[in-house]
Amino acid sequence: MAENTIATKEHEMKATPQESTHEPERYVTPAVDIYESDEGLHLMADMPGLDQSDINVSVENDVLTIKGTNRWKTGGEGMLIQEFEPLGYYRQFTLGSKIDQNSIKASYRHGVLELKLPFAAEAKPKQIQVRVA
Amino acid sequence: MRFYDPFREFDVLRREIERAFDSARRGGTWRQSFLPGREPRGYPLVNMWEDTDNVYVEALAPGLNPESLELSVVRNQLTIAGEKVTTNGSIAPEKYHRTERAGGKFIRTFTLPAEVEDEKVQAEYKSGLLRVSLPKAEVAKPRQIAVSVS
Repeated sequence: MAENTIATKEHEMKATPQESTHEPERYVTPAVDIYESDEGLHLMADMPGLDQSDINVSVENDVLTIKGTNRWKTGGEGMLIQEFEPLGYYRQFTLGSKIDQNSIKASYRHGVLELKLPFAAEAKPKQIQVRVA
Repeated sequence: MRFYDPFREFDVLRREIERAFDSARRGGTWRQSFLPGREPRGYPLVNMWEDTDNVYVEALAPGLNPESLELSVVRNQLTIAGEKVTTNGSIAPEKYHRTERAGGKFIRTFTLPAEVEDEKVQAEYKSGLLRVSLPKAEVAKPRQIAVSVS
């Protein structure tokens, strides 16, 4: 059982050290869920308050960068409760070699950014037929 | 079943420290942490402000099921309830690489600075932000009283 659990690690995306050094005053690190299916990895990030043009997802040198620029304003003169202020979002991940970087798809709904990162064809699990003679 | 992972231990330690600082942050001048993951605290985070005619509430609530959202106003109490959708349950635990997003049902009640006209409350949920505007009741609005000088 132990071998089985460790075997999936080769697909893993690792957070890169850059994420903590990128203008921490103006950006926050969005919380993410990353899970795996047979087709690839799914990434969901909580990034509320963005328009389509404010979201930037890019891959460079095996590093996936998620960036969101918050332009909305909140509050006014008679502030009664202030628990948050709009900031940008920034986070980076290093992609494993098994990800097909040209087929990454992104969508944004109800403030959640969802990325689909498919595995390259050779990395997908293959079913091998066993013939019983 | 869980294997020993030193980085997980660091993470646990970091959360403990954050929790210890949280009380100081609330009272002091520390900036509130934006979008806390699973910290035990009020959800959703809310900004509330007012002008002479309206009270405005803005809540940071990404990933809600819009149909689950329930807003109610009783006198000067506003209650926001809903459910944040999670992937938990549908995906086998060993398929996760990271789970930082919290989820589940929530309810939060606020005291408004004045009574509002409950039929005219407007709410909009867009890109993870819930915006509510609550017109103040006529009796609660400030009235200018002319002072006659004799």
